[in-house]
Amino acid sequence: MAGRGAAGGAGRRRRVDAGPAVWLVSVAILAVLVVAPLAILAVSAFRVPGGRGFTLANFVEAFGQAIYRGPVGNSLVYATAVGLLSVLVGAPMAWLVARTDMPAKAVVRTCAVAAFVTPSFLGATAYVILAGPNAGLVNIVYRALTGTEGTLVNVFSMLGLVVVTTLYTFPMVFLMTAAALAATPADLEEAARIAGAGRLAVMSTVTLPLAAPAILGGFMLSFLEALVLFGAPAMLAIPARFHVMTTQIWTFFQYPPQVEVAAAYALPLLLVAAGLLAIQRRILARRGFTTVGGRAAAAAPVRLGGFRWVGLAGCGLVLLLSIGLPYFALLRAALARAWGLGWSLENLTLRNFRYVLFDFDPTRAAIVNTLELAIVTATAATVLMGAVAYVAQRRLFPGARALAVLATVPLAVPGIVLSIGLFKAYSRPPLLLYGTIWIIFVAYLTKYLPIAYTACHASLQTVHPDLEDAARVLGASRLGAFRDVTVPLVGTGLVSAWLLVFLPSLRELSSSILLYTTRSRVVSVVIYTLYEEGLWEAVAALGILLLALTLVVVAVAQRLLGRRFLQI
Amino acid sequence: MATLRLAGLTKRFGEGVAAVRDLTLEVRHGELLSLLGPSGCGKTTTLRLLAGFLEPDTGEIWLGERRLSAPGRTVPPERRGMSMLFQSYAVWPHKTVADNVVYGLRFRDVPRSDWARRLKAALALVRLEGFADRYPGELSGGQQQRVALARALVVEPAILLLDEPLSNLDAHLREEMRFEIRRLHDAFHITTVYVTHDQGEAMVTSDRIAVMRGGAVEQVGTPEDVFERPATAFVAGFIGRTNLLPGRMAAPGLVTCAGDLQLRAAAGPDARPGEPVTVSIRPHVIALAPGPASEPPGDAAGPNRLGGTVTRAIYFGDAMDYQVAVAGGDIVLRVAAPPEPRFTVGQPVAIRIDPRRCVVVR
Repeated sequence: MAGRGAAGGAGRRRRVDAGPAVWLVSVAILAVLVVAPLAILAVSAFRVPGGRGFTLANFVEAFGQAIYRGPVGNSLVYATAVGLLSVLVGAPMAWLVARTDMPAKAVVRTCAVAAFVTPSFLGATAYVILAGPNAGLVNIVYRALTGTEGTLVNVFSMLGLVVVTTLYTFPMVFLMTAAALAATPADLEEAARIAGAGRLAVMSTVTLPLAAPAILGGFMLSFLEALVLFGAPAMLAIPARFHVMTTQIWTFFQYPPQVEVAAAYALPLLLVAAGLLAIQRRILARRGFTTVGGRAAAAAPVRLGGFRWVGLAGCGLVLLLSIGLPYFALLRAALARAWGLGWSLENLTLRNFRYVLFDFDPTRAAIVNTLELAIVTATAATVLMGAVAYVAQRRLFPGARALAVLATVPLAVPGIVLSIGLFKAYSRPPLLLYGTIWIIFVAYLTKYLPIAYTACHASLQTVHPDLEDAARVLGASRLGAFRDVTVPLVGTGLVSAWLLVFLPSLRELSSSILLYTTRSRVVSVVIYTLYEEGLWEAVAALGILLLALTLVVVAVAQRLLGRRFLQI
Repeated sequence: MATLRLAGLTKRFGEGVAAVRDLTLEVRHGELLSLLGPSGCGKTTTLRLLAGFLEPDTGEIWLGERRLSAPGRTVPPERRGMSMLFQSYAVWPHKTVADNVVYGLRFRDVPRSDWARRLKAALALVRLEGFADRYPGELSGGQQQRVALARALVVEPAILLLDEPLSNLDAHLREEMRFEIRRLHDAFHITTVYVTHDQGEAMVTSDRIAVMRGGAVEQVGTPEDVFERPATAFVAGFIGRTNLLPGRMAAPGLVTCAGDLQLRAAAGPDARPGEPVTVSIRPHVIALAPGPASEPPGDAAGPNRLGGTVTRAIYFGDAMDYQVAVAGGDIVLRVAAPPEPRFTVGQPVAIRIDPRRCVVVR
């Protein structure tokens, strides 16, 4: 009987191992997506504009004038302040939620996730409605109450910009720190207690040092986020008559465009982002010791006594500022005939929604474009990165690991910087993508490769290679084993990767803003241009639609994929 | 009759030392051969070379007249007609027991109408009747291992490969499964290669054992061969407990150990006088008797009679584990003896070792 099986699998049909082909195609795609725009960006920074030869004149132009150097300082102040404030808000909240007996912890966590997925340009719009110097609700109420002509708050200021941005970056610190605190095994703290440390001493000598890498990592990500952000600064800083680096790059693209100067101006931004991420990785890599031995029991929550209500009030205030008031302001404006007219039934209407959905061609086209882009980008990124993560993890070929590194490089490329490279690469033959939504697709795909890669890699890691080997020994080809065993097992992981790309694609602004044309607009860009034109009711209606879609997708995903989705 | 032949296999990972070097081995048709060795000895690499997951850097693998592996020409795992049992069980958690078991049939010329019968037979074989519709998550580790076994056997493989299949089971189940594997082998005589680091497992299940060390085979033989007639000190030490006494060949059958201790040893390799060798003496072949702490050296009182003092005595219930310091030298012997007569620490004893059970090894 033994001899029969040997002949069974062989010869009946020829199986081709598609591995090498997958690898070659992946390398080619990654090279085009990642290497090409960065190389072109670097080269164009040294190019004579519109001519031949190389020059340093672009750098002289970009950094030689005080008016262009100012934004560099502004960006540093802005990013540093946002980073620090995010830690000051996010870390204590994380401790309250992860380690104390504060009530309503699940609600706080859910609201923090909602803040996490709220685009800051919508927050900025809402705060213009709430705290604009003249027509802002807060100032109107203030004048009515005091009878003066003064202004209580002015969102058009560096302080306003920092506060509004922080309201949407602190969740990053919150989620990272909460995860680290939850992963800290209780026995580490108990060991300190037995050794004689009091509660405060345990906090300062064990709990905080163990969470420090996560907090520091959160600071750096918030810093980086503010540094490369375009939407909120454009909405709040430009009316306040100052620029940050991203808005300055955008002005270089206004008529007459100075693309080479923009490239020169963007290079330091790229280097800073890359440096920060390298440092952040090194810090997080050392975090390994907090997560090993995860079998230890969770620590008993710290009893706060009466202070738990103080803690809850603090969290409530932050979340009120972050989502409560802004959502209210947006909803109110979206439902108003004119947002300044106040509350009355006559002022209530749905026509803003009809207007943006059906009547106004640019918004209607933008909605279609955005949905199309988000779906296509998420699908392409998941398929591509699923293949790359698989090949890299199983080390099918020498050099497979290099693919993985290449796939995560865009993490260090600010969206607006990437766009300069893409603009130079695809605004002329042979690949004339500029003017179509395909150049925006390329930008999104490149930008979100790392997210897709990380998610695919993480879910593939849960599948023991033996599971696939078992299928191969029994006669399945490599592709067959992949299809029969691996794909069903990582299914939810792939869905998760898809959603993690789909969600940010819905609201991407900092790349799109340089790449859109009148024929290729997306929702975020339309929101920004409508904002510039002062059509705030339409902005609010579009924003509410965007938020509603986002929140529904997140809710469904958390139901389907468990609470861990989006909680890092 | 298909003999599995591994000829001069070498496999290197990266620039490091070879995981398997110049390994030559024959697995006879229908036998169960164990690859036994400590971790890192290359046994799992050898198995993965056999399965076709790895390609040798040099050397070839033949199954009868068919060449399975050679550098650049390796038949992929799916075309070898083999089955494999994994340390992690590798039972697919998204498929039912039935779907797991019949998976391999679709790649073989088995008509679908026959699947149900084969499934039933395979489940009966591993005593899992009635579990066909369960998911692996609902089964215990031992049951999952049986599913893996059924999945491996249902395709009637030419070769069965077992990669430490029992190491994730608890001690009790492990012992039961050893006999189970032997029972199935006696029933079907599938040519089997069994990788393990557990000498007890290898002794129970194997027709022959290949002891591996540093990527090469140190000795191949029946369980009795490798236990009673180990070729090297490593094999003697790895399989069962033993006393290893370094010395020099004095004359044929006579070894001089430390402290001019003369030991007569029957079995062993041909070693020239003066050559350094080691004598392996199993603890249970040493006999103790009350007596004077020192014996006159030499064969005056008969071969291999020594004097000594008990330095440690541990009670194991069915046996005693003694440590005895041999008089006139630094040699300490471990002795396994029945609980009666009992010796106490410090008591002088007479030691007698049967020369036929002193084995000279290299």
